[in-house]
Amino acid sequence: MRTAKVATLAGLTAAVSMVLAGCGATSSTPSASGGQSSGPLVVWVDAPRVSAVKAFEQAYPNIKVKMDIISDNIGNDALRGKFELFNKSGSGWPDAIFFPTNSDISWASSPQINYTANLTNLVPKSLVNGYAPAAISACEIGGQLRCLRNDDAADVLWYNAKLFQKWGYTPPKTWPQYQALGLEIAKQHPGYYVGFIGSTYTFDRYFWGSACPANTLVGTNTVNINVNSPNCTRMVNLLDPLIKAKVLSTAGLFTTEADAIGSKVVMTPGATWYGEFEFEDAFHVPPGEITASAPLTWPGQNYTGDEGGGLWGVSSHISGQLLKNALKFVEFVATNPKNQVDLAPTFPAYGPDEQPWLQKNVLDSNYFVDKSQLVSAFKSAVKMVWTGHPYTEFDPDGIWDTTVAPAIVNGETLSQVWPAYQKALVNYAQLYGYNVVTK
Amino acid sequence: MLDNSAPSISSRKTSPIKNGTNAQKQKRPLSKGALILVAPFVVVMILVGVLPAIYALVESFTSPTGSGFTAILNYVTVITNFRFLASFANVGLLLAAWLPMMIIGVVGMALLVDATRGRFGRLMMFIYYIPGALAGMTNFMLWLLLIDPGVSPINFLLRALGATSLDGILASSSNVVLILAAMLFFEGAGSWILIVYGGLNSISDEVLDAAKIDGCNMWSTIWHVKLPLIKPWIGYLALMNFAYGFQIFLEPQVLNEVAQGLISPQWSPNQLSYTYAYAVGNTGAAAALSIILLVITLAIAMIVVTRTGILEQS
Repeated sequence: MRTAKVATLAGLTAAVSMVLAGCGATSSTPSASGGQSSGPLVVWVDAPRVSAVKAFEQAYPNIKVKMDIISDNIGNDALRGKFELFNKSGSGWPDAIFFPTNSDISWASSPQINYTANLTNLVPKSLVNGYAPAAISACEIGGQLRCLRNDDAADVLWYNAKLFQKWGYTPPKTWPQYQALGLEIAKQHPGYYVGFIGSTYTFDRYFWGSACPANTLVGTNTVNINVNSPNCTRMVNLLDPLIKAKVLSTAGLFTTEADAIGSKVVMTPGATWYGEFEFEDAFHVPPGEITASAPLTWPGQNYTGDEGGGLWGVSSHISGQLLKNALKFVEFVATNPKNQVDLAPTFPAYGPDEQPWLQKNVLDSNYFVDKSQLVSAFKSAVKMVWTGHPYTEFDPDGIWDTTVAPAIVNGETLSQVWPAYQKALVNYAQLYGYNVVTK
Repeated sequence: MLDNSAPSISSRKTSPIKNGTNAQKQKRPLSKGALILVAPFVVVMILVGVLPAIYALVESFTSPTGSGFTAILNYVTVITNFRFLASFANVGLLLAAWLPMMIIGVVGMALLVDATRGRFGRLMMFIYYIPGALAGMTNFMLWLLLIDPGVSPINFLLRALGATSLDGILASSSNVVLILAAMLFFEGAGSWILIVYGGLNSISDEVLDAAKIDGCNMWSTIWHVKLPLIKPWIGYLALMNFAYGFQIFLEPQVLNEVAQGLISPQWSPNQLSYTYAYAVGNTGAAAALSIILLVITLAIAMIVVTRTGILEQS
């Protein structure tokens, strides 16, 4: 009887202590260990990067590669959890990794986890110089190069040229022009959209490019969070009338709802990958309608935002031949045209690969129209990404999704939810151990 | 009215001692057998239950930056966290919605099956069990498909209720509670109906006949005979489901991924603990929150155990 009582309670104890055991954070532990200098090269990539690894194996048949595929869910905490455990056990790290979420680089390069090696003196200067400064800045952390950029996801203005021609519109160049045209479309063509305001990348799309300080690093561990600054509120005031006029969809970018209304999108600011991954694959807009023009800007400020664009890291726990192989690997997958031009569906961040990629994916493609305008839009956008928005352990875009997106779906305006957003940003920054200033 | 114990179990209890000639000789193989039976459980319980709990207790008093005793610092960190109260409120609402649904639904359906013993009753039992036959999380994944108006096979129903998008449904926090409650009900009800039905089956026909002779109709039999006799089973149902609901983790975590972040990643206290352990890297705070959850769960378990007498019968 007593045993049964104890057993019942112990069952509960076991259930509670599952938290400590990690609830499914189990991982395959590769063979790498501290200071290891030989053995197979263990690489972790998400599913879309598997072809890059295969191309590397073909190019370097003498290097034995062991590949593990990791979840490509954006904002997934489980990856960091694994590295916390590897650090505790002193082994298990992959030798090279593709980070599925860009902000992963903030913990991976932090003093606490310290996983990614400082590549400053490990990769050739000429290679680093091949990147546009705005593209590689995400990897320059505390004066050190801690990763290599895979692709560039700078924002441009995507629009449906066929509808524009039919309705006699010219693409806007500035944010105020974008608002004016949006309101006109609301009046003349109800049921059409000029952008998405729901979950995933909305902050990055509208507010990063507006130079809004939501997580600007002002010291090693100090962030400036002030979404009440004029750089942010000008965008709030610009978007609220568009939300009210119902030309901004409250759908999240990756939802079935967005796919359903995708063909009604007249224009939207969006990353370089929107053409193929949104308009063509998700929205099923027929060929011969879509193009892009230069990023929307505020008068006098030549900035744009950025939505993703992956990062490659090398382990700081390896040396000798294994380190050499890992460096060969990241240099190959991040910059070699055999991967970046021949295979990668995303716009390469490495400058010399840009033109051949554009030739193959834009100029030779029959999907886009006004191709030369699109090519120059891409080329100018990658140089314009505002560098005041680093990757921090708390992600303003993720916090947008839990704080602002539901409020807007429930009919609130941005200005109404704005104080709550500021508060949530500060709370999360402090949760992750940042000192916060608001100026 | 009737406070004698469930007959099927109590009759079994005393049998081994009956034909004993030498008490000592009889006892030794008995205790060895009992030891063998309980040993594997005790070993596993110590390894995955007791030791982690002790580890958590030690860790909860250890400095997050390294070693050293920090007194209640980790507890203060957790309790003053901006998600602490909100996450407990979420779980409180979930339990308020789900537990009554679970207890009334499961006991009600088990009584229905019990009232129609025979072929029809068995058929109904099978039908009730079908949703539970899909393993818990599979059932949950199915629900995710059902509630997305974009892909749901029952979207005509969702649209009739005014829902046009998954975001629209999940943006309301009360909807999230109701959806989780419904998902949990379908995950667990089937198996629990079997368990409660087992309890009803253990009521002997003599007792029921006696009730009939005493003039009980169907309702008064249920109310005055059946329900009091299966009180321990209902207590067990309430206790296990309370423990699961209070420590809920997987369901809101998966829902969060499907909702594209629309639901807080720290929806429940256990998720907040997970954030501390794996996203913030503060294992001391994670351990402190686990200990808080453990203490509350144990306290409520004690109340349920002593009130319903779950363990007294066996």
